[in-house]
Formats: sequence, structure tokens, C-alpha cells
Amino acid sequence: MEGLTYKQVNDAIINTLAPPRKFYFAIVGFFGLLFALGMSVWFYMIINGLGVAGIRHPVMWGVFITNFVFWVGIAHSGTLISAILYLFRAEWRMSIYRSAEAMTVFAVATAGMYPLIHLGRVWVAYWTLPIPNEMLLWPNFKSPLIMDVIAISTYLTVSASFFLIGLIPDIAAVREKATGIRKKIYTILSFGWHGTNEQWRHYGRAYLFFAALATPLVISVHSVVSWDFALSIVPGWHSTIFAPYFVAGAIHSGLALVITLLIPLRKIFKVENIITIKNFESMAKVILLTGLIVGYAYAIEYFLAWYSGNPYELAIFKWRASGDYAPAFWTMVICNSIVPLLFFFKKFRTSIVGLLVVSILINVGMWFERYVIIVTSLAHEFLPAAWGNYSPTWVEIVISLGSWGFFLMLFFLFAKFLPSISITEVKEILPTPKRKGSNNEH
Amino acid sequence: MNTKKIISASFIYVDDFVKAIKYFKSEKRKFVTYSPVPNHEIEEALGAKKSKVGLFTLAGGITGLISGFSLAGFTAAEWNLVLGGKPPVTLIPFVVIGFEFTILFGALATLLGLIINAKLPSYKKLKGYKPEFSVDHFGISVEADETELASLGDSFNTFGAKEVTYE
Repeated sequence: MEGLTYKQVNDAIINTLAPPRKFYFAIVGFFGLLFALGMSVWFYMIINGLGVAGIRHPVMWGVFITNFVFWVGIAHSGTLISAILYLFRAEWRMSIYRSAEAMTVFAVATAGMYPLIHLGRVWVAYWTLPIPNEMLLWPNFKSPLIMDVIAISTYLTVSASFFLIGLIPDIAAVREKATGIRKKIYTILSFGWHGTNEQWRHYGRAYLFFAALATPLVISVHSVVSWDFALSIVPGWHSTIFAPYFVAGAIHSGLALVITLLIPLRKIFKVENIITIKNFESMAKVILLTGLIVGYAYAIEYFLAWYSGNPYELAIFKWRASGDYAPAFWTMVICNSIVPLLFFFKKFRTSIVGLLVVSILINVGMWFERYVIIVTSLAHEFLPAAWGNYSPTWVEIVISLGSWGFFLMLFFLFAKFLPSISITEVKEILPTPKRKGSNNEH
Repeated sequence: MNTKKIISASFIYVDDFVKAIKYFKSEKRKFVTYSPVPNHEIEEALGAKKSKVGLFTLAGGITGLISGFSLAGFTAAEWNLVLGGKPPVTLIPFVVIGFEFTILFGALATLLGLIINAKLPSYKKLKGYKPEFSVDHFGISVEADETELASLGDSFNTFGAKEVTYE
């Protein structure tokens, strides 16, 4: 980014919002259709009942809940990058945080659909809200499932507000270059931001407090999701390491998806000088750390199962690695904890192909991690007479693809209508234009 | 009678801009500055007090904490269901609800604090504002009597202003 001026950064990022070509509409249309297909199949399931999905006794949580946990995990990288790394003053976050934050908001929205889909009778979803029902009964706040509803809705509200606050000064910059109807829209969206001293004074403080609030929230949300499992007594779930294990996994998968999405984005928008290989290298280093934590968690689960002397616990872990779901288990181990070790080598951390391949594999692995945790534990609980296997039906597969359509459609729309790189924060890391010793020539 | 006018100047360099701010501050003049980015040197030169947004955050957080615990406790007491021999109002699981409400209310109050303090949204045209202040220029606008405009313009030029305009 060296040698760039405020104006160059401003223009380069605003140019990404230029009227799109036909190819863009084709892509958005394709993802929109995929989403519509997923919704139609959901409607089919509502009419015909949950029986059309593969979930049945004993595996009552299948791909829907796997997808829920996967998408909540994906949502973690955005706030990690925007809030935690903001507090740590990590400069490499500046050019990538906006896309990661957008990804967070869309991923939480996608995740939020799955408990509704899984409910079957979606029209009674309001029973989970903190309001009394017709019988004046309130939801049970001691249930981790209700805790989860509160945590996820808080996360969606806070991350969406944080995302919008960050956008305000950038939209003001876009407003000044826009014309016609676009100018009117961006004027409204900029809330009348002019960058006055008073506005910046309050903005800086508000942003800091938002970051400070969002930081513990990120950690708490996936911890609460993990307690959906860990607070039960199901072998393979009832474990105290679940919260940190889930949080590390969430960051692992979230950062991997940021890499997967940003590599084509920077190429399409020709912003390689703003989203640099250094940004990717830094993310790869964090992935290396989370990969090691996840690998350690996999190993320690086996140790705990053996050391606890609990035969049910040990049985489930032996079965995971050698039973019906062994391919899924080994995909998870290899993709999440072996493949990321390649990032020990600078060559892989700085190679676009290497980064892309590893990041995709991590996401495959992280999806299988949730699948393995959920399905294997439910398939082999305490009573062998009640054992049974699970495999998803076409209904679950199409709904899952539909959710990818929803997420990617939103991401592509965002990338074309809002600045996908923070104009203000990228300017902040450029050398301040000074009469003496400045490289910011005008 | 003298009428009030707005004189504004745009700067390219922060050091020039900071000098101008310090000068007008020492002159005890009322002025507004514009900047495309937040900048510590500008903040120091302005010497403004800390924003009160934090008080909103604190109030929101405390309200959230009390609300979360109260809601969970009240609803548990409404339906005295003893589960596993444990008392209906058990504080430990309510920590999660209390925590989430603290964050939620704290964040919403911060948002409210920003809206109230920064007076957003405000769509009226600001006199002295120029589009480049959101791009790459730093701006300062001063309200002055018509008779002072020439001398103020000279001052701006002395500090290295790129352009001086009058409204």
C-alpha cells in the first residue's frame, strides 16, 4: 500500500461500485435462484412434515443443526477481525475487516434460519422469544437452547449495528462521488455525515465501546452454542472443553472463508494493492494457531475419554474414528489440523493458490467437524438397542445449497452496492499527508 | 450592521491544518473542522473533552445486566418448576442471560449515544463543507463579520491553505 494517497485509495475503492456488467447479474441471479430453490424445498418440507428429511430417532439433529453451527462459526471471523483486532491495533485488519464484517452479518442471518427450518412447525418459533405464551408460560431461561436464541439474536443485532456504524463515514465519501438516484440513496444512508470534529469525537468513542462490547460477545456466542451440546449428558458432548474448542474452531473456519472470498474479490475489483498478500499471510498465521488449538482439542478429547474411565465416552470416541462415520471423522482431522500445518511454511502463506486450496479444505473439514460431533454422538448413545444411523435426504441437501445461495447472493449484492473495503480505515494506515516528510503527493 | 459570513479553507497537509486550528483556538474563535479520517494530531490541537458516549454505554450495560437477571429470575419464580432438585431461581445459568442483555443493551445505548451526541442524522447542508473534505482534504470553517473576512483569508493563506472560500 506504500506510495498510495488518500485520493487514490478513495477512488480505487469507490470504483468497485461502478455499474456492474451482465456477468455480475448472472452470478447474483444464479445464487438468488439457488436460494429460491432452497426456500421452495423448505416449503415442501413444511407441507409434508419433517419426515421428508433424514432426521429420525435416534439422530434427531442432522444436517440442519450441523449447518446452524457451521454458519455461526463462519460468523465469528468478522467480529474477531473488526473488534478484537481493533482493540489490539492490528493494522492488517484495516483493508479486510469490512468484507469480514459483512460476511458475519450474512452468516448469522443464514445460521438463524436453520433452527427455524429444523423446528418443523416454524409458525410457533415465537415460543422461544422472551414473551409469555397464551397459557402465560415463559420460556425456560435455564435451557441452553433459549440461551442460544438470546445469544444469536444479540450477536446479529450487535454485529449489524457495528457494521453499519463503520459504514457511515465511507458512505459519505461515496456520496460525494455519486450522481442521480445513487447520490440520493447514499445521502440518506450517510446519515448526514460530514466528518466534523464533533462527529469524529463521538464516533471514535462509540466505535471503541462497540469493539469492547463485541469482543466478549464473540467469545460468548460460540461458547453458548457449544453448551447446546455440552450441557447434555450425551457421550461425546458432555465435555468442559467444548466452549474454547468451539470458539477456536469458529475462528478457524471463519478466517478460512474470509480468505476464500477475498481472493477472487480482490482480483475482480483489481484492488491487489490494497488487499495485499501480507493481509492473507497474517490471516494464515492466525489460522495456523487456531488449527493447532483445534488439533489439540481433538487429541485431548481422546485423552479425557480414556482418563475418565467412562466406558460410554471411550466407546463413542473409538467408534468415531473407526465406525460408520470414520471417513467424515478423518476428513475433519486431516482438513482442520493437518492441512493448516502447511502454513508453517512462508511459501504456502504467501501463495494465492496455496491459500485458496487450504482455506477451502478447512471449510470442508469444519463442516464435517460439526457433522461428526452431532451425528455420531446421537447415533450411538447409551443403549445399543437404540442405536441407528443417519444420512441426509435430498431435502436437506437442497436446503443446504439454498442457504449458500442466500449467503453468496447477499455478499455479492453487498460488494457492488457498499464499499467492500473500509475507505476511512485504509486511509488511516497511510502516512499522514504532511508538508515535510510526506509521500502523499497531491 | 455587519452580517455574519462563513469563511472556509481547505488544507492538504495535516501540519498546516493543525497550525491553523491552534491559531483560531488561541484567538478564541468558533470554528468547525472537517476531516476525511480521524487524526490524533487534529484531536490534540482541538483539545476537546472526551465524548460522553461512554456514559450511555455504561447506563445501557447496567440496565441490561439488571434486566437480564430480573427477567430470568422473575419468569422462573412465576412457574416454580423444580428440576433435578434444584431451586427454580438459580443464578448460574442466568449469568448467560444477564451477560447477553448487558452486551445488547450496552451496544444499543452506545448507538443511541452516538446518534444523540453527534446529532445524527442531520441532512441540512453545512455551510463551509466541501465534498473533498470527505475524500482527501482537511477543512476549517469560521463564522466572522464581513469586515474580518480579508484578514482571515490572509491568515489561512499564511498557514498554507489550498483554497479559501466565502459563503
